[in-house]
Amino acid sequence: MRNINYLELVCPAGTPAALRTAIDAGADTVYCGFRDCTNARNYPGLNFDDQELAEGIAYAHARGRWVLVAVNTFPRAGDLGPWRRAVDAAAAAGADAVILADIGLLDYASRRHPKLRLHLSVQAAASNPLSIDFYREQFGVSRVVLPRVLAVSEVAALIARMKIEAEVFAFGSLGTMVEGRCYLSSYITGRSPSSDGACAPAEFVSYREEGGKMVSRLGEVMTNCYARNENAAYPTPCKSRLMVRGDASYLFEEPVGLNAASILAELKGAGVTALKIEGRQRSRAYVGEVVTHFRAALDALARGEAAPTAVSDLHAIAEGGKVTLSAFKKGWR
Amino acid sequence: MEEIRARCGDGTTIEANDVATINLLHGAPFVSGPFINTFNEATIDFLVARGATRIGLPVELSAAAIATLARHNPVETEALAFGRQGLSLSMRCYHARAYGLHKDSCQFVCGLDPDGLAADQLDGKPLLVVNGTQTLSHGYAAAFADLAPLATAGVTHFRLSPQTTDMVEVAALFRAALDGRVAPAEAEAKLAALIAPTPLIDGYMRGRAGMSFSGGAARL
Repeated sequence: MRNINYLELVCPAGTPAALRTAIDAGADTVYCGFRDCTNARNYPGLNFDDQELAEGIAYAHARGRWVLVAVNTFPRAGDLGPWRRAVDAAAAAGADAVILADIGLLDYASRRHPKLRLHLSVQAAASNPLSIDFYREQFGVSRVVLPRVLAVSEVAALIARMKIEAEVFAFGSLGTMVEGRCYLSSYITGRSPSSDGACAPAEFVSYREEGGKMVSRLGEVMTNCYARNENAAYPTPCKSRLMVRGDASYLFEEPVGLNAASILAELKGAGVTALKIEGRQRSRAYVGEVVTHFRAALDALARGEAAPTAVSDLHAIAEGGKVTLSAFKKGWR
Repeated sequence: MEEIRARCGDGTTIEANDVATINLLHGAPFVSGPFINTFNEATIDFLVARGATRIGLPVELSAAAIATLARHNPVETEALAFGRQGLSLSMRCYHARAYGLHKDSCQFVCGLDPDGLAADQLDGKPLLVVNGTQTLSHGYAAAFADLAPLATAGVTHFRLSPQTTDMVEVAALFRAALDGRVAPAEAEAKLAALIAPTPLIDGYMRGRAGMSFSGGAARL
């Protein structure tokens, strides 16, 4: 049986090796996806086939842990097959829940697999009680992954008014737009995060030295220009440096990663059930390091001790080498 | 929220752009807006069963996808035919941020830029505009090439999103093209002259990068 210490720690598994690393490092739950457009981390070299998923689930279940399968993109017109197959395959493999975003796919999963636990993906961007009630009432959703746009006080107020579990992001890359409704990447590249499962695909990314500066591009679009002493970040559209009112600025968000390690007790107090670590596209070393740090912090808090300070020292592996509390702190909006 | 709740009961036709509103409607008829993620037939079926009388489709869809969904959809189908394409929404107000203000005390600074605030690439090439919490395309979509085929496939409504240009003339051009009184390429050329130097774009309709332009109706 699962024994959740303080808060459920939900960790990314981009590969079978990362799944085992996350479990060994103390993940209560891992989440993964199939090797196709049905999940929002559809990048080369990642994800699972049916057999790898079955083996990963066996590894996790033998240690009393859970495996969630993300089928969290939006099925294309006239092409529902791959998404329905993914839900069916996850159920057949014994997944503990599927993470869905599309209304049509939620409808399918709730009718075809009434005993399969459904989690609402952050791609559904449900951030108010009425929306969350809608997904619970219509499809029997058991948990919502909350968008990364709420202050801790707002998370607490929301949880007080909803009747299902809440999972929040604790570490990793940040989307600053309403997720699942952001077309910036397809506007620039033609590849859709919503239906192709890839934001800013690597084949569109370039870094070139121009006039003594490092220029990053996504497709033809200049997303940033760095001086020699600056770290060049990945050219995600919402982290672009743009000319606005005559100034070069990070209009949407700087290249920073979320780290909520310093507010775990506040999140527990807000009624959060689970903490999510972002990063299925990151290395096994990243998974091992982040999960180890958060496991130690949660175990310390469960014993009534202060979290070890080392958990605040994950800057080096965060996006852009910097961390933020982002929307969790007031004033972000 | 209270205003939406009141409106949902007074007979006003509501365009829902979040499922929260569908929840409030309790099965009453509604228009499903383009920010409800309606990418496929299964989602349309669910929304229609819940009372949707019209499905507004997301701007990201190609003409081929719109046609597929319109053929399937038993109720009205709407697609964007003109204007800047809404690309993203945020809880953070970028307009306020660009003016050094906070969303909660923004002084409605977005009113200074009725056609949006330019967010260009560092080399000066245009890219996006922001309008409050929404980020939009720099170019204007103009679907002259797709009006007739999409109407044939079952699209019943084409939306014109207002920009700071002569919208009466824009509407007249689309009406004339839809009625077959003006060739699509001719209407498009007149529109291009009207909105210059803002470019036309049609990438999403062609299944390509949204900011690109294929040549529009002129290539037909």
